[in-house]
Amino acid sequence: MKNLIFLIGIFFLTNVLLAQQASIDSKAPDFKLKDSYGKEYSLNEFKGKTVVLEWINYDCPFVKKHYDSKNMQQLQEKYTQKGVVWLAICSSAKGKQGHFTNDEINKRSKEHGAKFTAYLIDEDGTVGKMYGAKTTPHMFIINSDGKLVYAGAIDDIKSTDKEDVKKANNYVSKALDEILSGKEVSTKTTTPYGCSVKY
Amino acid sequence: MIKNLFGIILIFSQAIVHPKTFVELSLYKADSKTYICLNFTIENGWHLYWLNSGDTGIPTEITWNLPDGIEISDELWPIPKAFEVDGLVSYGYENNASIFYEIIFKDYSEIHNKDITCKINSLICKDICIPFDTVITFNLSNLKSRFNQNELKDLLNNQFPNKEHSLELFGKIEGDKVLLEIKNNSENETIESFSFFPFENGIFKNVLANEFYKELESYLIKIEFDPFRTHIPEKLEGILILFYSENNSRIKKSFEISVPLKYY
Repeated sequence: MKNLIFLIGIFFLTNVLLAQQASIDSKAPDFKLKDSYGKEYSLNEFKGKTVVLEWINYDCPFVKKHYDSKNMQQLQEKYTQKGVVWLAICSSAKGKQGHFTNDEINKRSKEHGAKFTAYLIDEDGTVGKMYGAKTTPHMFIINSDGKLVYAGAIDDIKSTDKEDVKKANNYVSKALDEILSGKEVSTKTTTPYGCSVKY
Repeated sequence: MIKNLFGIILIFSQAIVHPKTFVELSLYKADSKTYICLNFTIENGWHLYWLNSGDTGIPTEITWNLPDGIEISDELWPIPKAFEVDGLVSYGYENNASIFYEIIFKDYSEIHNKDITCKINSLICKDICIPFDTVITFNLSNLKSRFNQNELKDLLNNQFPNKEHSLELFGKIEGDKVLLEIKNNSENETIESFSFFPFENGIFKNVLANEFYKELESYLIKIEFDPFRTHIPEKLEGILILFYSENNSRIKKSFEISVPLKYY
């Protein structure tokens, strides 16, 4: 009897864990994280809105490319003005590259002129692993129905050169434009590029 | 083809491309063919990436600017190593990497006093990553030898995948994975582990070693799809590495494979 209870427990635990793994065209798993000002956010509070998740590490050369060129801030500003929620998430563990104090995060975000909705701190990596975030940047888009509709790179030029931003096809803006005009996202997955997430 | 290259070492040159790595260029002649080798020496603890960088990083890109009358082949990449950090697996090289190209020209005597330029766009990583983008010009008449014949033979036998093999391979798609079947023809071989390094990124989960099981006279290797794969390929293409025991010795063999995939 004890063995049966144990097996049932394992079965439910496995199902719960699998259910929490993000996958395309499925409900995006909910999470709760605090931002760099100490305010708690959950994905569920943005029901009915399009949400962008951007994995971030300010010291990664690939992230620098998109912030130093202002590409990321322009995307954040353009789409948050259209009602999109933009959450930057940092999964760098304590002591690893990209992990900063809240003051340092807020200072850097201000210097960059970041226009995201919030910078969320995931230092134990739970949310990063739940979404399968591998690189910085790694981009995810959740539509107003709460489904994950895009996972992958920000664009199609795998480099750290700021000059490439102008030449690249931006997958995130293309997907967001399609969502905002009521269309299906045409490219749902691409291969992300960048530094490893420092779990 | 490349494994028959036990040729005459002709010329060599080197350049620092980044404080953590420098490259040397050397030239080898075998039968009627000539090869150049771009060798990277990498500072201990750091690594560069293969043509498929895996979960992180970017592939090393090398582009050549050649004078009229000289052409080169695509890269012949050595077998990469798989690195695992925090559950993310990448493919690349540490310490040393020798990339070969076949060099083609109309008249060998004309290659002397000619410059060839290569642009290397890469990323060198440890716990952090540093990108570099360097252009180097080598004068072919300044090159000297790097490997002696034994070193070259050892390098080519141990560090490059066999392009030709007699393995019987069958690939089938089964749900969220590919099952690669290898018919085991040798009674003396007991395969202990398999690693598959795909040429294309973003299709399969990157792993250090693949799970497998034995069924009658076959080995069945599980190659899982990435949950965010960009497409389902028609062929399984990459490097298959086998570790097996033979006469109490552990042997590593690697093969470049291209196996059509069928739905099961």
